[in-house]
Amino acid sequence: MSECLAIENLQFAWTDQAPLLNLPSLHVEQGEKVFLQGASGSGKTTLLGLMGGVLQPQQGTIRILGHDLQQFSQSGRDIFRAAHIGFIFQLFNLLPYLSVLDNVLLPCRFSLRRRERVESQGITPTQEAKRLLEHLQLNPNTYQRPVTDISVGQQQRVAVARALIGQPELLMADEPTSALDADTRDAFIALLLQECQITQTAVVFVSHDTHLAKHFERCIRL
Amino acid sequence: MQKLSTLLYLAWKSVLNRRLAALLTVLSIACSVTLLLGVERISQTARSSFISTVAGTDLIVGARSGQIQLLLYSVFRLGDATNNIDWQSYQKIAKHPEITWTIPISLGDSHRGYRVMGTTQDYFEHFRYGSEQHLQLAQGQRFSGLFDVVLGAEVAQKLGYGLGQQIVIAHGSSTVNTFVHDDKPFQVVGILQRTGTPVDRTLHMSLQGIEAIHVDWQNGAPPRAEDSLSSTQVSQMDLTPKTITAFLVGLKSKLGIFSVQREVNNYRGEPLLAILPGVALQQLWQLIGIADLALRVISSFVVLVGLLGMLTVILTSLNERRREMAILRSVGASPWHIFGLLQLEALLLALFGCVLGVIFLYVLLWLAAPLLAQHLGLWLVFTGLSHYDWIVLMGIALAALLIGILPAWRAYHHALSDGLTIRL
Ligand SMILES: Nc1ncnc2c1ncn2[C@@H]1O[C@H](COP(=O)(O)OP(=O)(O)O)[C@@H](O)[C@H]1O
Ligand SMILES: [Mg+2]
Repeated sequence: MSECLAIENLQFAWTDQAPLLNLPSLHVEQGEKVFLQGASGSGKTTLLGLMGGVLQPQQGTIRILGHDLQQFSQSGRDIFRAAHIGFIFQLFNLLPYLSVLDNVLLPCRFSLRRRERVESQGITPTQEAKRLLEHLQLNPNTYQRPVTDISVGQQQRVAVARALIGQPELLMADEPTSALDADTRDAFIALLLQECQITQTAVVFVSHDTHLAKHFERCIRL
Repeated sequence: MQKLSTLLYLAWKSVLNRRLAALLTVLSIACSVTLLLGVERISQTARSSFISTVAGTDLIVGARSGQIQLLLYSVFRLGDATNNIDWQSYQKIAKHPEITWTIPISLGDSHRGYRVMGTTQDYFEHFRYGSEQHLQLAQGQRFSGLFDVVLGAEVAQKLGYGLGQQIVIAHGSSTVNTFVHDDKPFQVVGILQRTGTPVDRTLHMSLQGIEAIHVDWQNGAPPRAEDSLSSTQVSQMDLTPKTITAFLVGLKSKLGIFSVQREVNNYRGEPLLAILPGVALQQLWQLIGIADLALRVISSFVVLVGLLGMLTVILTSLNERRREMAILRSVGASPWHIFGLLQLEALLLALFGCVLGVIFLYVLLWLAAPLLAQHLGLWLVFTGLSHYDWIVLMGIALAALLIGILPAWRAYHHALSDGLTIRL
């Protein structure tokens, strides 16, 4: 198996704050499902920002799919992120002014690469979005609805569809289940991992909740 | 290109999502646009209507006073002449070889607040206004008898007079009339078409008619009952006027204007003044133009207020939209995309404001045109957007972009500093 994500000697501090992250080494293989556990405020979201190239580390290297993020320009990192990484957040993942379907289509609008990957399968992004939403057990009559009309559980599944459209190699999930109750939480994670299994997408799932570790192949403490 | 259409799409959806605030912003910009363009239209119309109050007249001659004063009483029927012109002087100057026509006018009396003007048939032949239009009769005919009067359009309309109406002339120009020439009533024989000039507010009669009502006066005082003459007695007398107030002059060639003007100004018989009506009108308009400028400055400020309203709306929405920006960042938007998104929103609001403002403008002009024509004698011409209008609209769009830089810049910085932190 080849390497998907590699972090060496990473250090980061927010401006005017004490050092927050100090990560000697972190490696994720392609298609691997990793659980990253850390207490609230330990810098999990910050780490995802660094791995996505939204933030710049003060020290260390972050390599994704063999590319050192530091080597890219600012806009190069934005293009790279759009092409290869899908994100899911804790809450309010969706743009309130777009429909369910349009939210899912967003990455294809910002990344040519992701749109092309969908089209190379001979289908349009809209068809692919509908297929993903159906897989994630969303009722077709919600597709054109505003995202504010659907439940939080449904919203999180729409976020999964958006993160996975165009088959990015890496999916980063930032406590996506913290707003769900215990039953839906397990079902949600199972569904998420199953989808990623199909497309061989690597997953970095961060949460403070140690109970979720059982779903994953590997667990790392921050 | 692809990105731009994506941003435009997002900006549009986001504006739609906050449609109440957006609508109010658009409305306030629209109203300010309407005001700015409307003021320009009306002042243009007022100016051109003003400048063309007299046309085709080369010189106006009156007793020596100020140029503006002469213009005011001879053309606008405002104020009074300080002195009259002797009939002999008038006759002499009118014979000048360069001069093709003259229109003598004699002012001083009024009827219910409207000025009465004595003149000759030459008035109908040679007087022109606007784009060289002649006076046209709407009803009846020109005055021919001693006690005939031809009304301006507004006089007839406001006072409800028709042909055959008997009217009496009051001495002097004040509305609180001290003396009425009620022994010699006049009859309306004609009504002029509307011109949008002071002609509409004038009653016209022959110089002899004016002479007739004053012939039995002594030293500017009304006759005692036993001395007063009846209309029939008066019509037997020689009614050649002794003086007139002013006269308009048409020349053979424009080249002669200055030499004739000089000759009149140096006339030995009495102190006279000849003015070029176009120049005097321009000068007078510049005096009034201060108000015009003030209006423009005020309406520019209204536009600024409209745009600042937009700034407030966008700025206050920024904080609640930080989450949205983080989402956009996560799907691949760069900080510059965020900047562009907010600029586009400002531009969209301004453009809709401009479009709606132009629509308002035409609706308003359409509604106001009859009122302006009726009350101010201003005839609005419905033309497309002028060069000036386009410049104003572009200026507003540009100003919106400039003002939009502030929220866009803030959002850009948030995008850089927030990372993916979604703060609630
Ligand atoms: N945009 C930011 N600017 C400054 N400090 C931040 C920002 N985001 C997070 N922090 C700080 O970094 C620390 C870790 O935050 P975060 O990465 O969100 O932790 P976690 O996701 O593990 O709860 C917190 O103390 C927080 O105050
Ligand atoms: Mg967090």
